[in-house]
Amino acid sequence: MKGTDDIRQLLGQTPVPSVVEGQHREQLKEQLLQQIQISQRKKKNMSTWSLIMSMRIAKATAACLVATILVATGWGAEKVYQKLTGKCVVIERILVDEWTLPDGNKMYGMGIVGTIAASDDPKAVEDAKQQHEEVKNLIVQKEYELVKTVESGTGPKLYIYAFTLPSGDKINTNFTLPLENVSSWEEYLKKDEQQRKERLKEINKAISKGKFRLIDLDVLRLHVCREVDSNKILRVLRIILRDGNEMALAITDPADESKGYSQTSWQDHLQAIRNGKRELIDLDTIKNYTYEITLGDGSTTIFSHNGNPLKKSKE
Amino acid sequence: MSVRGVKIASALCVEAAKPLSLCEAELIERARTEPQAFGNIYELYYSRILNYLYRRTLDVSIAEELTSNTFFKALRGLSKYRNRGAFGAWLYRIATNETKMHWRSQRNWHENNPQWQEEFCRIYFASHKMTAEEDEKEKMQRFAQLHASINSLLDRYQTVLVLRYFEEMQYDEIAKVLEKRIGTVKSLIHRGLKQLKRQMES
Repeated sequence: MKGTDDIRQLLGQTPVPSVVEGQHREQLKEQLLQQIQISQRKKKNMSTWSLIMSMRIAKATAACLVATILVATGWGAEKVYQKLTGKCVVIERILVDEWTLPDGNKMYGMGIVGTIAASDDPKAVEDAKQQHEEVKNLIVQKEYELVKTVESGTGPKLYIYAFTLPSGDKINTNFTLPLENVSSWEEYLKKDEQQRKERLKEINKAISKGKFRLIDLDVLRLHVCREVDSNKILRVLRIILRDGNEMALAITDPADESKGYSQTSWQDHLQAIRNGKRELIDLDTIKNYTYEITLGDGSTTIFSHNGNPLKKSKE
Repeated sequence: MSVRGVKIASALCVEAAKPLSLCEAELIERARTEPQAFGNIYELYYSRILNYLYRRTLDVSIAEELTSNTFFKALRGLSKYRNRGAFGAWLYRIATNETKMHWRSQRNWHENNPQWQEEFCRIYFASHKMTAEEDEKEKMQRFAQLHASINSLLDRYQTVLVLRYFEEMQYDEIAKVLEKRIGTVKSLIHRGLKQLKRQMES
């Protein structure tokens, strides 16, 4: 490399300047740390609000979806019940499970137990409540008939029983356990909870062993808006109903102490932006992953969640 | 229906006796979730990146701007970064790309840049003794002339020569920055030197 020796020497001997650091170092650090904090808060908000699959759903289910969102955002089950009374009646209770996946992420699952009446009619609500009490009595009296069992694929096997009410009306209701094994509604709830927790353990075990595969992937989009009058930050989710109508579910930011939600049509939401009543700030996206999980007994179940994909641990 | 909650923080780097690369790996892992950990990484690399970018651009303001871009991009890409013990190389790669994009957006970049004269108070030479201010200016002029010659070369030669002779990186380090084999790096340096010699002689 004789030909380039002199150049190498020149490069090696030329003094190299350095910069006297100024305010930029601290300013940039502060900006970076702020950005991290914003991202973490955003992630936490998304993780506590997430959910929902973008599926076509009935209005009643949409209202239950609201319940799910509100419970996930930290509302107590009772508050949710009160908020939803009149829109979607949950006669018994809203169940919230909390568990930790093998990768350390916390998960929240929600279920609704009881009778649901999607109606603003107070009589319909009363009828539903009464009907539920009658079914509870029939369970104690063992006055029911098994119609069929259904493998839902998304949870435990469902047992469908037919009840004949005192009025002579016949209704069919789903249960997650054979009613023959319980002597009361309360016992059913207890065993159902136990079964649910066992199932979550099995799902967790399967995930930790990598016994899952991704079978669907969807993206939910939320408009991040500011309500001009109240200055509240809202996250607005678009929900497509089975009849083709589109709903806008606007949820307040978890940092907002008032905490609430409102439901309008999607068109009304867009109109509110055009009219200046809502200021559109940003778009949040949430990926929804649907997995088929193979449980220890060889059966499969469907498991959906939002945020980051499940990771298979290295073997 | 299920909801994902907040991720739990990962393990801590606690043993000072560990090799830097191992401790750095743990720091990077923590930085994915802990602001303080990213702050520590920033402190480790800020000076190096700023100086590298200055030596590429000869403009303190631009170097600071590109440094900001580099660290913001690193922050955004941290979740996808695969921790293989070459975090510094990854940062340099981002910084190198920032430089390329900067030059592409500049016109007449090969002309002498007078900025260093206006920012002279922000410059110092660590490896040579300072005697009088004139000495410092002479050093800077020598560097600026060399810099202008290097800047007239193709980008790939500029990068390897700066990394080798100004950043004093070993061949394997440069290979990690450029994601090339060591043999390729040596070849690029050799060809770059030949081009530089031709440039300076003309």
